Amino acid sequence: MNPTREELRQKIVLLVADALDRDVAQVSPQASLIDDLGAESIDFLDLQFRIESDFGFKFTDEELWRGSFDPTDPRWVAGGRLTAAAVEQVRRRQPDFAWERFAAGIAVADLPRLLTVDTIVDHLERRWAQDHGAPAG
Amino acid sequence: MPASPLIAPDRRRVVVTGVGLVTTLGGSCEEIRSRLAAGEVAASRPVTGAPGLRLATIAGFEARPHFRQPKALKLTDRKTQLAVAAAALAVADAGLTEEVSRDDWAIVLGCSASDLQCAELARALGPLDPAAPERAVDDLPFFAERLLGGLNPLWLLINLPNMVGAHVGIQLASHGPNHTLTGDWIAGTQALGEAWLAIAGGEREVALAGGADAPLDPFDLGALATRHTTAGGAPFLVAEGAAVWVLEEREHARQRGARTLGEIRGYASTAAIGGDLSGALQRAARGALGGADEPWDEHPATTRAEIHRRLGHALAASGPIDGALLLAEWAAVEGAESAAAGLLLAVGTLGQCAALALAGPGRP
Amino acid sequence: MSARRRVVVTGLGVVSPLGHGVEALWRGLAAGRSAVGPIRRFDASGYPTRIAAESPEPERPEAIADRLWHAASRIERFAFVAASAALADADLAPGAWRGGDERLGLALAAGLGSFSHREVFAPCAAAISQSADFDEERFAAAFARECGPRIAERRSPGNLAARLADELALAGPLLAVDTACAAGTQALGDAARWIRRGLAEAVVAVASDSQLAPLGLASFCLLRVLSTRNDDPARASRPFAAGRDGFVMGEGAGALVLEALESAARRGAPIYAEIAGFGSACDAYRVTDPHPDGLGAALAMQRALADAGVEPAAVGYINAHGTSTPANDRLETRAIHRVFAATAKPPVSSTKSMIGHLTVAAGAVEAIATIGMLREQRLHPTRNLDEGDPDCDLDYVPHVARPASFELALSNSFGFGGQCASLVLRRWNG
Repeated sequence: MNPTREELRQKIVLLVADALDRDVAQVSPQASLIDDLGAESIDFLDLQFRIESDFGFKFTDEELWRGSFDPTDPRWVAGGRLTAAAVEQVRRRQPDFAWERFAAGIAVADLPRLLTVDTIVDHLERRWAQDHGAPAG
Repeated sequence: MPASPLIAPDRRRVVVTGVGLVTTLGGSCEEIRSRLAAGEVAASRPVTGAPGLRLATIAGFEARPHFRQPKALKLTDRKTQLAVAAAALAVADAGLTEEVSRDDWAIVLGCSASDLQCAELARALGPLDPAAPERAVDDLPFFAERLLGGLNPLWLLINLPNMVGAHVGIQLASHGPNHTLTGDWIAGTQALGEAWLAIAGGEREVALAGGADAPLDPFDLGALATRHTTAGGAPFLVAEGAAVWVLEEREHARQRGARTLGEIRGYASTAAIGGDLSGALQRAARGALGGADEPWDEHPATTRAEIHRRLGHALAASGPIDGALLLAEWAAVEGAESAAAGLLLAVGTLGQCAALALAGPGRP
Repeated sequence: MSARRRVVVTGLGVVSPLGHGVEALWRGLAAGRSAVGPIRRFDASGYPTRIAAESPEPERPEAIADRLWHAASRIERFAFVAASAALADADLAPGAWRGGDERLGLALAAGLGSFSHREVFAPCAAAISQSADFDEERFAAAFARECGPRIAERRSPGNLAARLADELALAGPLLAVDTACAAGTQALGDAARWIRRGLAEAVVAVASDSQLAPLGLASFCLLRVLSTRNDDPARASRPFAAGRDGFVMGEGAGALVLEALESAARRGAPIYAEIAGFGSACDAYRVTDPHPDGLGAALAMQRALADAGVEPAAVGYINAHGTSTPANDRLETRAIHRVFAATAKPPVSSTKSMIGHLTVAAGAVEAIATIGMLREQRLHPTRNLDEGDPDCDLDYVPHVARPASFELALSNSFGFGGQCASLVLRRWNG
């Protein structure tokens, strides 16, 4: 009964489109919620509420928005900036990543700008596995 | 305190150059007037548990086209949506195109109260054990768990009354003074008056002012029902609606060649002391007339009662709606250079009053 | 400028978490005392935030009828106490003018209606007690059971204004205004305008709020704006400090009698300070995020200074909005830099570091705090500023009060919706 990644993604796209008042077509899985879709701080509260209501999960304040990188993990963050390994991972996962927005490198304060539909889906998959003991289909 | 004469302020003149209306009988003075003339009464429904009330809403109202940033819609209640729409219509009616800087406008709007959104609160509380529903009220840790887990986190931002003015400011990108008056049923009339003061006193050149109300929540209707129990007469028709006026300093309006719909010449608002409503009305009227040494007609009360009976009483918005219709009436009877003058009076739940002295554009 | 009527403060009244009355507030603030502790008024064990700055139970003032007092909500009681005290302090207590004096007005800052927990939630629970669908009939029946005859009155803050004016026989101009957490300051600006324009000789400007209730606390928790430093209440409100994690809720009321200078002089009334200027602005940016450059905040300060006819360099102190949320303190700092770009930055401190955020009432109580500092020529500190934040680089008067020689102070208040208001207060040398 586990949803597939594609099913999760479709659901999140709908929730994001609704919360940010966008056409579904504008919400690509790798669009930055902040830079491309205009999310502001209360939109993250709103999105979390919608996702929790829809999936029946409760998230702690930060977990859903931690994105792909834990800022306390030295593999990904050093000296307040993303490490080369982290940058490489972004490059691999997001071929169309807008590097021009981060000419001076990606600082910890910029991490929310890396949030996308897919980072939400990644986290949902992790939670699904934690809570249901099996990886999502 | 020894008596002292009020200082006659060095007042500038303030004209009305645009009106935006969203009401149960239409979105312009012309439409409302013709529908009233045709004998139309707003469609309404009975209110559960309140035989003394009927509620008229605006069918087919679409807020979205009036929002420059439609994402803000999710943060608005109905009265805020009506206010944003009325403000946009008023700006268009006044011919204030994007070329005219709106950076400095004052925005003063009135509404009667906040919006509890009881259906949202109830949904967050549920589901309840039918045998012991009161647990959700009395067991506070249980209450907290339900609300914190189930209530839309944006609830407070929708509830706050100041969002009426704030959203109009955000949608118009106007950085001027921006406030929302919460003066019960007289708030819209007070808003027109306070905006008049700001322009007359030289603080601003342009203001958007008026009122919006949409008492659709069961809590609002319950509260209104306590004041309007049936006594054999016709039920009280409560309505949603909004009216926003564009006020301008007269020279500012002249220089941009704006059409003038009328003028605000004075304002006062005051409380009833010791239940003396007629004393309050007299003080408000006297204050609004100020040093006027010319005869002023009282706003024909019978006409307004008729408007409220058919269009519905839109609480804080009713003063600005009625006032706009009065200006339109003068224009229709006497032409665009009408020299008529009258007082617009609004009265609140405790007998508090607001009075606005209005004049036609031809009044010297 | 010369033609303009001057507006002075001739009466003060306050209910604050530091106790009853102005002296208790001033003494506590000067000592840097925190009024924050565990929430005692109701069982808050189910909330992520369980601390607040509670005010003492108010006592009925003589001017308020017993019957009215008993039926009154906490917001109403705070307002009655503060307004009556301010009027008595100005030696304008009612009784001298039976039937009302129309040269005396009332401007109230109040946002939400005054409802009890049961009045809202008993009907809501009834409405969904039997099924998930909202049952309007059950709601209406429970509403009729729970809510007394004053519910229509308590629905609108405008009626609290009318009620106060009635009880205190203030028959002049009347207003109830809400600009969220900027409203206390806004009401002072509106009251001063009436006096300047000759609509009144004196106005009681009062701001009252208490969102310290099960619904109020939940609504702020849901917005994630409150500190959750439950294990260390006195150090939870830490404006401008690194690691600040939100504001601490307070409650109370402040009232100021503003009066035309010539009226005060005629009466021989003692004067606390002068209201030298007021300015307000709307960020017109977002509902909760402040403008990234602090645009509205800077505009409000600039307009207040222009209204007072003074240059930024003349300002000796700023009472900050200083909430202890990460965003407010950073952007307020930025806005102050903008306004004071060409001059030395005056010292800044936050009253909220000690009494928390009194929401709608904050501006009035903080104006009273600032008046105390002008009189005593001593700045109250910003408590808990242990570790600085590189984004907050002004002189915030950390930890202990500091003597100062200054004539002019700014007091800032900002609110959700991008509402910004700023007041210029001038020391009275009389």
